[in-house]
Amino acid sequence: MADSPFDDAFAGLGGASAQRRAAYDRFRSLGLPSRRQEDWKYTDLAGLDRARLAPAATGPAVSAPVAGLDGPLLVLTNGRVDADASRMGDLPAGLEIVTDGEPASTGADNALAALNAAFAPQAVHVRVADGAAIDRPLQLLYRVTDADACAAHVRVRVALGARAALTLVERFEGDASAYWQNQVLDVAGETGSTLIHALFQAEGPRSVHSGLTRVALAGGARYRRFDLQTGAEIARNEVHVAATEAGAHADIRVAQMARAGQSLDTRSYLDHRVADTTSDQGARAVVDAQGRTAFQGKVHVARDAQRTDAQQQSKAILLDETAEANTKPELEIYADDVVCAHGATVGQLDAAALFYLVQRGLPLAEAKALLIEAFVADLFGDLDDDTLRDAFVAAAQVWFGKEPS
Amino acid sequence: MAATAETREQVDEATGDYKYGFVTEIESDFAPKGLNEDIVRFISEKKGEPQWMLDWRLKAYRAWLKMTEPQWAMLDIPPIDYQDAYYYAAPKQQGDGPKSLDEVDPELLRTYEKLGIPLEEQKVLAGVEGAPKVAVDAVFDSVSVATTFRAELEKAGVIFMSISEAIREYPDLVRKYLGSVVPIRDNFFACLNSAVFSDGTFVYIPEGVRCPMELSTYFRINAENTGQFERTLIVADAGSYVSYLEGCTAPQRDENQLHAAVVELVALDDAEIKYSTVQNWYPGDKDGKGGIYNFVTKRGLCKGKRSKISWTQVETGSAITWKYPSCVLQGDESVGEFYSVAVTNNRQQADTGTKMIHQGRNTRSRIISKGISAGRSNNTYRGLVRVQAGASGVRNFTQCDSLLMGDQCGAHTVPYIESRNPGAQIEHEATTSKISEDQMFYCLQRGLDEEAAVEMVVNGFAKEVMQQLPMEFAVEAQKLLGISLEGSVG
Amino acid sequence: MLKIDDLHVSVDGTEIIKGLSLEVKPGEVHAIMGPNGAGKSTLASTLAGRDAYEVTAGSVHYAGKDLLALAPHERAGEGIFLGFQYPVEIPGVSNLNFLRTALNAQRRYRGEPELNGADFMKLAKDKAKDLEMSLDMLKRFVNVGFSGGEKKRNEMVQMAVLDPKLAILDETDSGLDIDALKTVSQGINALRGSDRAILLITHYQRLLDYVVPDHVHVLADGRIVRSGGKDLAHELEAQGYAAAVA
Repeated sequence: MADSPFDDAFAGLGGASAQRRAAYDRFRSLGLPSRRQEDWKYTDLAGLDRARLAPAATGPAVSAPVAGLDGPLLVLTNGRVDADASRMGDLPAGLEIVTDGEPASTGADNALAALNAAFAPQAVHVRVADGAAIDRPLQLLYRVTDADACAAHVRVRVALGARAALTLVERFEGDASAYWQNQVLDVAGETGSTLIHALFQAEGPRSVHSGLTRVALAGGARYRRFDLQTGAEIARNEVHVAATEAGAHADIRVAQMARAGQSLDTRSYLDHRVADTTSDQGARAVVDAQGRTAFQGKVHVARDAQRTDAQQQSKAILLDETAEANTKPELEIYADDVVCAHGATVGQLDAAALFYLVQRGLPLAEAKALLIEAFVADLFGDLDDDTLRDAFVAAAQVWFGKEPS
Repeated sequence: MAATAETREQVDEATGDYKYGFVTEIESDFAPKGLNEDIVRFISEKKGEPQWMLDWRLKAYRAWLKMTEPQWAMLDIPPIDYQDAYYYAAPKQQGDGPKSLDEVDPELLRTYEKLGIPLEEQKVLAGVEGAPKVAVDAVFDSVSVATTFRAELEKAGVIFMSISEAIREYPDLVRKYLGSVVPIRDNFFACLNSAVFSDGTFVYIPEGVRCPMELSTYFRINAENTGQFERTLIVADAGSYVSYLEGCTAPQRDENQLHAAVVELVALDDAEIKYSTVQNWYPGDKDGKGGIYNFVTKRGLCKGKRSKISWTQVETGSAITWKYPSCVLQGDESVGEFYSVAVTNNRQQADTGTKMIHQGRNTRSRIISKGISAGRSNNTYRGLVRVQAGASGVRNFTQCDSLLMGDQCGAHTVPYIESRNPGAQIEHEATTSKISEDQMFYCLQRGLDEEAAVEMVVNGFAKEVMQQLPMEFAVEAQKLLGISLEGSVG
Repeated sequence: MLKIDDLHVSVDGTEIIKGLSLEVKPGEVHAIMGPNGAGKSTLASTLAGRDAYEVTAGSVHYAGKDLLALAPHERAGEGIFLGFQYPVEIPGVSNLNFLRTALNAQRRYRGEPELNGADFMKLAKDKAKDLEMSLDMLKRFVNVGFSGGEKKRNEMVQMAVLDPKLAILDETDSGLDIDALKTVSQGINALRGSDRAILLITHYQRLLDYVVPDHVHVLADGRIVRSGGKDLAHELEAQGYAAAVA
C-alpha cells in the first residue's frame, strides 16, 4: 500500500491503542472517497490528501451558543471538550453526559468514520434515561480556531432510553483558517423515544466539513432532523437512518445555502428494514454565484418491509448564472405494499411573486431576500420550538447579508 | 398478423432487387472465436470497407482494450469472456441449438402461440436447427404496403439501406456522421461495437422531406447474426421528418448472448425523428437460465434549431438490459422526449432510462418512464437531466412511476438532476405502487379473466407511453405487456 | 335461481358467516339488512368469489350450477354482478374501454358474438343517459377522481350495460345524497324483471323506500335471524337492530 499523507499524523499520535490502529488500518484499506464513487460524484476531497493533516491542537476558548436558548452547553474546541467554555452544571434529571478518552472503533465501511475513530481525541456520550423527557435543549458547539492544516475529529454518541425525549442542538463553526472538521454522531433511539436534532453548520470559509450521522430507531422511535448548511468551503454530510422496528419514523429537513466557491453535499440513506415504518424528507437549496449544492436522498425499502411510507421533496433555487444545483432522489424498493414517492424541482425565484413584491414597493434585493427567507423558513415550519425556528431563519438571513430581525 | 408464405414471397419480390436492398450479402465463411486486430481486419475486409473505416474500427479496438465495463448500474452481471464469442458470422454449431420445437422452452412456445405466430416462423425465432436463415417478421398484413414502399421511398429521395452498403455507396455521408453522436470511446460497449459492428441500418432523409411511411426493421430482411452488434445511423436533414420502428413483439432467440448495439440519430434544423422500439429478446427461462445481455447505446443529437428527437421504448425482453436512449439538445429550442415502459419478470434485470443534456437555449425535454417489476426481477430507472451553463429558458418534466407485482421483486429509481442555469425549470416526480387486490377483484367481478385483468391494469398504468407508439405497434405491444407478466399475480 | 345452504365462511381463520341459508327466485328482490359486522359484505364477496373468503362448509347453487366451483370471472359471465361498496379506481383505463372489454369477455364466455365498437357505443351512451352520466365521464378513467355519488352511479351504468341475471348490491346507497339515491334507485328498478333477481345489502332502510323489496332478512352474527316482508325494514328502522334481533 502506498504511503498516505495521514501516516505521519497517525505516527504523531504516539502509542495509539490497538483499537485506533485497527481503525486507521481500516481507513488505509478504504482510502479517501473519490469522485469516481457513485455517492461521491458531487464532492471532491482530493485536497484533504494534500493538507489539513495534523490533529488540531487545543485552542482558545470561545463560546457562542444559539441566541436565546438556555440549558446545558458543551463546547468542543478543536475537537476537545472545553470545560471552561461549557455550561454543564445543573443537568436536568435523566440526562447524563460523559467524556471518554478512547472512542470506540466503529469505522465500518466508511472511510471518514474510520479516520475519525483513529484520530478523535475524545468521545462524548449523551444518555437520556428511560422515560425522561428533557425539557431544555442540549447544545453542542464545535468550534475550530487557529488550526491551519489541522483536522479536528469529533465523536458523539447519543443514547435515548425507552420513551425518552431530547432536543439536541449542534452548531459547527470556525475561524478563517484552513481546517477540516470531521464529525461522527451515533444515535440510538429506544422504543418510543424522540430526538429532535437541530444542526447549524456554519464552519469557517476555508474549511472542509464532513459529518456522518448514524441513527438506529427501535419501535415507535422518532428522529427529527432540522439541518441548515451555510458554512465551509466543502461540506459533505451523510445521514443514515435505520428503522429497525415497526412504528419508527424519521423526518429529515435539510437546507443548503451556497455561494462563492462553496460546495455543499448532503446524502441521506433512509433504511426501512421492517414493516410499518415511515420517513419524510424535505430539502431546500439556495445557490448563489459560484456556489454548488447536491442533495442525494435515498430511500431503501427492504424485502418484507411492507406498508413503508417514505416521502421526499427537494427544491432548489439558482440565483446566478454560475450557480449549480444537483439533486438525486433515489428509491430502492424490494417490497410491494408501499407508498414511496419523491418530487424534485430546480428553478429560480418565482417571477410573479417577485414582481408582486416589487410592485408593492420593496426594492428588488429585499424582495428576493424575503422570498428566499420564506423558501427556507418553510422547511422549518414544523419545528415546534419557536426559538429554534427563529434561530434557523436568522441564520439564513445572515447568509444573505440581512441583519437578523 | 402472421406472414404467410405468399406474403413472404411477395415481399422478397418487392424488395429483393431493390437498389437499396436489404439483403446483406455476406459470404458464409466465418472467423474463429475471439477478438483481436486480425478479426477486426477480417470483418472490415469481408465487408469491402474503405481504409478509413478499417482505421476507425482499429482505433476503437485499441481504445476498447484499455477500457473497463461500467459498474454503476444496479445490475448483477456475470463475468463475460469476450474471447469466448464469435464476432463475425458464427457457424451453426451442431447440437447447440434446439433440434426441433420440442426442445424449445415451452413458455416461449406458449407466447408464440398467443401472439399467433405460425410454426415455420416460430422455428426461425427460436433458432431451431435447419430452419430458414431469413425471418420476415409478422407485420405484413398487406402486400401493397411492401410494393408501394419501394417506389415511394425512391421518389422521396430517402436513403434506407444496410449500413455496410451505405459505407460503400455513401461514404462521405456516413463518415461525416458516424461516431459524431456516440464517439468511439463513449463507453465500453459502444467502443466494442465500433470495432466489430456487424451490420445495421442507415437512413438519410433529405432536406424538407417528410418520409412517406414508417421505416421499420420489419422491412429489412437480414441474414441472422446482425442483431448482435447492430449499428444504426439516422440523419434527418433540415426540415425533414421520419418515424423509425425497431424490434418486434415476438420473443426472439439468438445464439449470441451478448448484444451491444449503437444507435445514433442526428436531427438538423427543424427536423424531427421519432424512434420507437419494442425489445423482446429472449429473457431466459423462469430460473434466469439463458437470455440475452442487452447493452445498448442510443443517443440522438438535436443539432439544429427547433429540431426534435423522440424515443419511445417498450422493453420486455432480455435477461439484462442496460440502455439509456438520450438526447443532446444542442440546437436552440430543440426538444427531446423519452417515453419508456420497461417490464421485468422472473429473474430479469433492467437498468434503463435516459439522459437529457440541455446545451441550447429554450430547449425542452419530457421524460415519462413506467417500470413494471414482477417475479424475482429488478427494474431500475436511471435518468439524468443536465442543464449546461449557457442554456437559458430550459424546461424539463419527468414523471417516473414504478409498479410492483409481488413481494420478491425490486423497483428502483435513480434520477440525477444537475442544473447550472438559473433560468431552467426542472420538475421531477416519482411514485411507486402495486396492482391492488381490489383492482384485480373488481376486474374479475366484471367478467375479465386474470390475464385480461392484469393486461388491462398494466396498460392503464403505461398508457401515457403506449399511446406514443405508432398504431401498428401499439396493439401488439399492449398484448405483449399482458403476456410478459403472465402468472405474476395471484 | 340462487340457493344458499348452511354456508360457513371464514376470513383469516375467523368464522364470519356461520350457517346461512337463503333462496332467491327469479323476479324477486331481497334485502339483507343488519348491523355492522354482521357479515353482510362477507356474504357479497363470497358469492362473487373473492380470494381470502374461505367457504368451510355449506353450498351455493346458482342457476343449477355449483357456484363455488366457478372462478370470479366465470361467475360474472354467468350473470352475477356485484355492486361494490367502494368502487375501485383504475388509472389509465377509460370507463368505455373497461366496460367494452368486460362486456365482450362475458359474451365470449357465454358463446355470444362480441359487440362491435359502434353498437357498444350506442348501448353505453343510452344506458349512461338513463342514469344521467355524461359521455365525458364515460371517457374518464375508471372511478379516478369521481365523487362517492359518481362512483355509485358508474356502478349502475356498468350494471345496466352488463345486464346481469343476479345483481348483488353491497351498500350501494351509502354516502349518497337524496338526488343520487333516486337516480341509483331508478337504475336498480330498471333491472327488475321476471327472469332476474336482486340482492340488496344495506344498513339503512331509506333505499327500500325507492326499491321496494319482496323479502327482507336480518343478518346478525353470520346468520339470518329474521325474515319477513317489506314492513320488516320499517320495524328495524323504528326499533333498531338490537330490539328486532332480540
